[in-house]
Amino acid sequence: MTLLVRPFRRGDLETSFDLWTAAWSTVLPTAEVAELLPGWRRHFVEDLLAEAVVLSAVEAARPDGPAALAGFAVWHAGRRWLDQLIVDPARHRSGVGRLLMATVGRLAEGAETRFRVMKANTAALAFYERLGCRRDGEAVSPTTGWPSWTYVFTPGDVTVSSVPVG
Amino acid sequence: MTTPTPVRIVDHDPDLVPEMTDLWVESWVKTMPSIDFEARRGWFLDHVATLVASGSHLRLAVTADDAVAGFVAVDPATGYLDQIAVAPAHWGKGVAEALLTEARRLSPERIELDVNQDNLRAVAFYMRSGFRVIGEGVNARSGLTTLKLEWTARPVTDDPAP
Repeated sequence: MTLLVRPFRRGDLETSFDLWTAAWSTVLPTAEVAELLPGWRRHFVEDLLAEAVVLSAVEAARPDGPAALAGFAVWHAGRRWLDQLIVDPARHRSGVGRLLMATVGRLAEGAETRFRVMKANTAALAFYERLGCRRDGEAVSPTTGWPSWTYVFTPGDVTVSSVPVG
Repeated sequence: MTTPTPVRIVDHDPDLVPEMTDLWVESWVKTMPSIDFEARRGWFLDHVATLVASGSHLRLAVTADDAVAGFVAVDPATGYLDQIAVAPAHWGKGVAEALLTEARRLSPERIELDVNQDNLRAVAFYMRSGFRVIGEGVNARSGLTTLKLEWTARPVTDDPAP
């Protein structure tokens, strides 16, 4: 599967909610994810799409086709804060997250980006450790109340042979 | 950001238009290689003339050795920013920031602009600088999707008014 990163489009919206639900369901109880979804939908559409850089990783062969969305990232360019990195669980370990992180790194132009990862999210922790991200503190997720680690991502840590951006 | 390029801001100067045009072509070719910007030099010259005639202020960022590093055009009456262009050699070195500061000086209350949605570097730059997406559109010339961004001087606060 060849991937490319392009800006999030309105057409990605419903698939992105499906991916968000599927990805969080690998970490949180399904009932809790279902409870969080309406708030996420509103927050994503009303706040994040207006204030953040939202990147879609899509299959290069059909970048706008149905179900082409393999993952997406929500990055606050001003605060250098990674709000979400969502990868389709069916496509874990296929370079989706790495490509999105490399793109965030490129857009950050060398500056560090921070983010929070739930301590229970072992797959995500392993992924960020593989990328060379540095754990630098503890926090509690304001949405779920789950204990989390904070991490620092320094661009340049990630090497992807080429990052085609939109 | 790597070592910043020190620039001074100067007013529109017809003598510098050829250098500005080269810069415009070079930066756009690098941003959107699929579009033939060389072929649009004539359009750009007309566009600059129209901007100036209609009241937009054109400002250039000039380096210590008098090279044009970038330019901005903004209409103080409407707050509309036509574009910020920076020579690729000076990308990531604070030139766009200096030009945006000048644009905010010329239009201190509000700035509005359209940016190609695919131009992620530019979108990230404007969002980092406090712009918000207020709409989506289509560029009539290229057919590409654009985002309408707005910056206002109104301070944004997380706390509701007392």
